[in-house]
Amino acid sequence: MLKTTTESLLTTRFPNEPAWFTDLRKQALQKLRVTKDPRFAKVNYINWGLGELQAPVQPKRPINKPSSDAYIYCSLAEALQQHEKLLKTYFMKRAITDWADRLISFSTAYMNCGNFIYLPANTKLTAPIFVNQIEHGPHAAEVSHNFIIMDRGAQATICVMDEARQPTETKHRVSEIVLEENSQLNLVNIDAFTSKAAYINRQAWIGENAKLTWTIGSFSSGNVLAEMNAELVGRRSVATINNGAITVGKQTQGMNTQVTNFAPHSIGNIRQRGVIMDQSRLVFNGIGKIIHGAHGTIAQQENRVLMLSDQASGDANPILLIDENDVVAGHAASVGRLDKKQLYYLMSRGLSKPIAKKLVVRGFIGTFAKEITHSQIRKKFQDVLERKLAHDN
Amino acid sequence: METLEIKDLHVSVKDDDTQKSKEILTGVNLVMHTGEVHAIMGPNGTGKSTLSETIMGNPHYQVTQGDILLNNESLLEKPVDARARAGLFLAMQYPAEIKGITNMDFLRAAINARRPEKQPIAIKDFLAQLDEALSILNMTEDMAARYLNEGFSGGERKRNEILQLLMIKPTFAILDELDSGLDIDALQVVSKGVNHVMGPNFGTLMITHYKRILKYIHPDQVHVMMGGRIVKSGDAKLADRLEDEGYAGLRDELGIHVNLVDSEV
Ligand SMILES: Nc1ncnc2c1ncn2[C@@H]1O[C@H](COP(=O)(O)OP(=O)(O)O)[C@@H](O)[C@H]1O
Ligand SMILES: [Mg+2]
Repeated sequence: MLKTTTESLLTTRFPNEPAWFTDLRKQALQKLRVTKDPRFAKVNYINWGLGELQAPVQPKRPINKPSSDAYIYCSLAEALQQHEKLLKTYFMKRAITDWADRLISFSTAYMNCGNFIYLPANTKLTAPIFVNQIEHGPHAAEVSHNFIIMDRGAQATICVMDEARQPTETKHRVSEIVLEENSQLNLVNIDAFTSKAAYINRQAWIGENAKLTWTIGSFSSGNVLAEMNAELVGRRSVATINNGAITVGKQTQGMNTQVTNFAPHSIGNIRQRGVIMDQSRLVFNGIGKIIHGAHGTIAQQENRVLMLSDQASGDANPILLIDENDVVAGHAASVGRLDKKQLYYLMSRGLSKPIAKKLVVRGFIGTFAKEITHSQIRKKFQDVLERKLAHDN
Repeated sequence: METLEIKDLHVSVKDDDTQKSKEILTGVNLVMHTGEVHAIMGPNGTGKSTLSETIMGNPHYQVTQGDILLNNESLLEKPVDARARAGLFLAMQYPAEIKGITNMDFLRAAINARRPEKQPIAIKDFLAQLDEALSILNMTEDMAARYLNEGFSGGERKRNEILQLLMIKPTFAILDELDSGLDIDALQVVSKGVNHVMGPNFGTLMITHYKRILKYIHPDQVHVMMGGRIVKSGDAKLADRLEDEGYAGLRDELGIHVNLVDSEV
């Protein structure tokens, strides 16, 4: 492990990095020294090497993305050069406002790459935007900060994938998602990280009347610590988070998925489904929070895990924190094992045990895939799910 | 011609609550060939479903003596999926519900399980077969898109079992109380489905409590089961006799000591 010093910060700077940006890194470094590790109930990630500098990180030089005329899509380094004002408006101003823990502090201080997507007001895209990778050096462990900004009334579908690449020790990925009033975003994250450990922090800020429909396929092969958070800040804002996860081998995935209703008449919905195989571990902490004054709101959540092996372990913890009376809130949680009667029934028609299991898993998590309206994205989601299932036998 | 033979079959089952083993089948003998229709009739609780499930390979049931042979080869060591691929099919009395798997996906997987791995059935051929089977059973296409048995009525489930039968085309099919819970129209429809697969390369073992299904699917042989074994075999007339005299009449004639919970035919 390398020392986290002020000098070490300089190695990750972007070309011609503005002073205000470097100052943010320095503040984050200060915070790194005083903040604690984030809390993930029932997940022990102390030895994963997260929040540690692994090797000298070489930021890659900005690459010109084929931005269309309708919107901006470029690397963070490029955004600092060409869209500095926009970046300054949103960088840690909305979705993330604080370095609340050690990992977010680390990720800010040592950020070495990122993507920046901005849809101007009232832009309505019919074709989806595909984000295939976060630009960074070939040997550098990713410490990224990413943006999706939907300006007022904008509408889009965005699919963020992670094509398999050289596995690194760690990966830190922070994303800020902002939906200004009346905007709508269908966001699909298909995570198939190969790094030994990944820290994922995605925070969404949702303005008045805006709507986020968010589907996450958590199909990584290494350990994953993920925080997915949507804040319903504007009146009548809506957020749905669907998270489908599969863990195999000796892998652990710990996921905190949170929706906070700040504004009246906002609607939050969390649905998490996970399948746990082999000796792996999966923990879903679903957190529904309703702030005082957010009357007429709805907060629902469902967390379900299915264990396919006797050595698998898992948890589905719904947490409801409600500080308002005039609300509709509910939760369901279950930790189940594959039903022997179901397995027998499937096998009685000639399916081998592995194939029968696969069908069950596909059914359990595939419901999220089926709800993805865009066929190309749905196909990608299903392909990665199948690839993950192919590991099991 | 293929042969399914049950030889002196003894089967025990462990009670889930008490963990005590209890012998249910006490020596069943039966030989059937393709091209034949057999019916097993018997009072409730006598072991008809136990026999069906044991032939299919349900791990819950333990064979303590005897053998089950398909073309002279023992099936006892084979798990349920291998028996299915060898040609057996059981239309279950209580089929499981499985959320998330559509009927269609399941049927395709079942058909592909019988084909070489690299040669799955072409979608076009599959859909053509499916359309035909659905129309024989008066089923709508949306039934195929629904999750496997989820929320199906009793009648829909039975129909769905026969849909699988039509698509999978096994060598021997055991139909466990296909008639129970069906009204007369539904009974006619599922019978039509079964009659459709009948032929020289297909054998049927119908398990039933009542005679009425035998009006639609004509048996070559009727066997009566009591106290965990077959106590009398005969032709279709045996079923008529049972209808007249009930199981009690036969029991008394044969001097068998079993309690009949429910003896009407
Ligand atoms: N899975 C099981 N667990 C425990 N007992 C069983 C099980 N299946 C059947 N039995 C018992 O075996 C006997 C025969 O049942 P079954 O084969 O279902 O009869 P039938 O189909 O002729 O009505 C009954 O006494 C029943 O309680
Ligand atoms: Mg029965």
